[in-house]
Amino acid sequence: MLTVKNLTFAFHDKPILDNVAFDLQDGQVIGLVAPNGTGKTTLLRLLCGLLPDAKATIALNGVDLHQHRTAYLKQLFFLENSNQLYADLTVKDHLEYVKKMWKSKVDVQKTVAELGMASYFKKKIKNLSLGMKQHALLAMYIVSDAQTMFIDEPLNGLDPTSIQLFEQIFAELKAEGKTLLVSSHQMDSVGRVSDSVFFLKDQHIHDVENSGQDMMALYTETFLQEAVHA
Amino acid sequence: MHDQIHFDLKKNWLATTNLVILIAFTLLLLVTYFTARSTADQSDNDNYNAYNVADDKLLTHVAKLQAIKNPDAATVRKLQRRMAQHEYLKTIELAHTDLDNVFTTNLTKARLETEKAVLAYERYTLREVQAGRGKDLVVIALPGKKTDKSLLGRKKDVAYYEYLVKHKLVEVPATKKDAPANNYIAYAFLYNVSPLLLLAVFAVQLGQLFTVEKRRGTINFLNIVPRGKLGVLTARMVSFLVLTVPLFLAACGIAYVTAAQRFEIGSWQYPIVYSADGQHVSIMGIGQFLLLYLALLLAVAVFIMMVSTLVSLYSGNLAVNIVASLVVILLGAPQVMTRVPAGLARFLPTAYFQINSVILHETSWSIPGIGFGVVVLLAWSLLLYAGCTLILRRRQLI
Repeated sequence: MLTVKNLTFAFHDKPILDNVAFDLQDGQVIGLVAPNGTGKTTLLRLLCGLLPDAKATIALNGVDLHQHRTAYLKQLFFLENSNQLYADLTVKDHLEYVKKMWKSKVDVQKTVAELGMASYFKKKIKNLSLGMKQHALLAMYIVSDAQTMFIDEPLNGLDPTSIQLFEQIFAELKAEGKTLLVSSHQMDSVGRVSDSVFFLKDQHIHDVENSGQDMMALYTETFLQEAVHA
Repeated sequence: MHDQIHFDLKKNWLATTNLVILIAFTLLLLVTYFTARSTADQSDNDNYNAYNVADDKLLTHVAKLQAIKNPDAATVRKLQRRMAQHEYLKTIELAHTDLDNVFTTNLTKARLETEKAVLAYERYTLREVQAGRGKDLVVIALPGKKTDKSLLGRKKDVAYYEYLVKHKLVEVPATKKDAPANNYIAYAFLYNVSPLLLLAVFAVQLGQLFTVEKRRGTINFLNIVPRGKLGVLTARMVSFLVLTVPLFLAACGIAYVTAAQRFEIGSWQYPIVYSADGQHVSIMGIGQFLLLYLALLLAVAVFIMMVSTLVSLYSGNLAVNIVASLVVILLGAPQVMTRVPAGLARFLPTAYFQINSVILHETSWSIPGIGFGVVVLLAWSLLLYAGCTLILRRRQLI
């Protein structure tokens, strides 16, 4: 379980998060939704300790981020986007590195087969399309076998078939008891995979349970109408 | 750690920068070779000129003394000493002319004869200096070599020529462009390539290696790896050494083979004269010199690496990193080091950047020795490493 308390953050004078607190239970998929520039990626970075937040309490299964960082990181995986992959290394290099660093027992070959990546498994990242890189990125999440995964806009550049595959993988990971915090602009997909959705607005998180409601309508209601009125 | 080093090496070993660094090292070491290809070697003539100049100078003094009417006993003795010196120099010049003689069939023998004549003269100058008559001496100023009229300087020259004569080795002047490969590579480090330039190339490689992750945005991935960040940073340091030291050695190898193919190989026993205590003279072979040079260069490179590492924790800017390293390297220039108080210099890492001078104990500032230098450099490196440790412990991000 991820526990977050007193999370406040600002870029210079611009407040991003104000005293945010939430819990993520094991075996949940949570959508993270907000317009661009609101602070979704910043929130994910904060949860990984990539940005300073001395006052917040962030703990994964009782392991505090600030006090036991390595043990904390062992339980999660987060890679912002495919641009953060090493262009001159192959998909294989990335997956093997993740497997070693996270001391995972996941079978790399099996994951590669599951994601249909065999044809470019040994290709360098710089020679892959955006969609292939997204697959490589997802494969890294799976291979890490981390209990908690923060996934930032994973569906960018994917064709409908791949989107279906990704959603299926999310469901499988959830079934394994993993916790997924998935930032996305694809509201239909968010509606399909999420147990609940975090709407990030006015520096606060509004937790909305997914009961099958129209997520796009909810998004419009939460963000767009306000923008129109403004 | 092993896995991290393996990953770091994979990331970096095919980087274009490595090729650039290899080319830079190779070009630096081949500068003399390229000059040798475009111009004929003049070192024999240069040496002959040096003997001539010394003799001419002497004859001018002789003429002045001979012009004195009714000279006193001291003047007569001085004239006798000058004449003796002239005789020595004449012998050298005569022996040397055999090198240009078309009837000379054995050039090596002719060169060895010249060396014997030079040795006789150097022994004479040593005796004169020991007798307190160094003021009247004319010392042969061979091009590319420091002229040293002191007792130590005389001892060094005597030891050098004694060694050459004893081992029947032909003198390879410092300015010789077509020097045998062994001398070529040693002279590159001794006379032709400033160690500060070599260190500057290391600084470029370090700047690239230690900022590339921040510049490309991959640093966040490394920062979420569930391993101690000091280990990740240390792995990168190891990667630098594993990549760059072989590149440097490869450049040395290319320069060596290039020189060996065009010229000859030479002897590893060729003498390099130095004095560790400023009184006694010692001789090391080229092989020993090269090993010491590499060891000290490695120690200095480790120190510069630590500077670059520390800077990289605060800035991912390539220019900032390289400039910071270059500033530290420039602090090792003689113009800076001579201004440092004598008692302090030996404890500064920058005192050991002039590697060739340090090995030959010829720095203008006082240093105890190469071993002490390595200890100082590694101690400072450890200090900077401890600094990195503290920073990483506090913020836990690279």
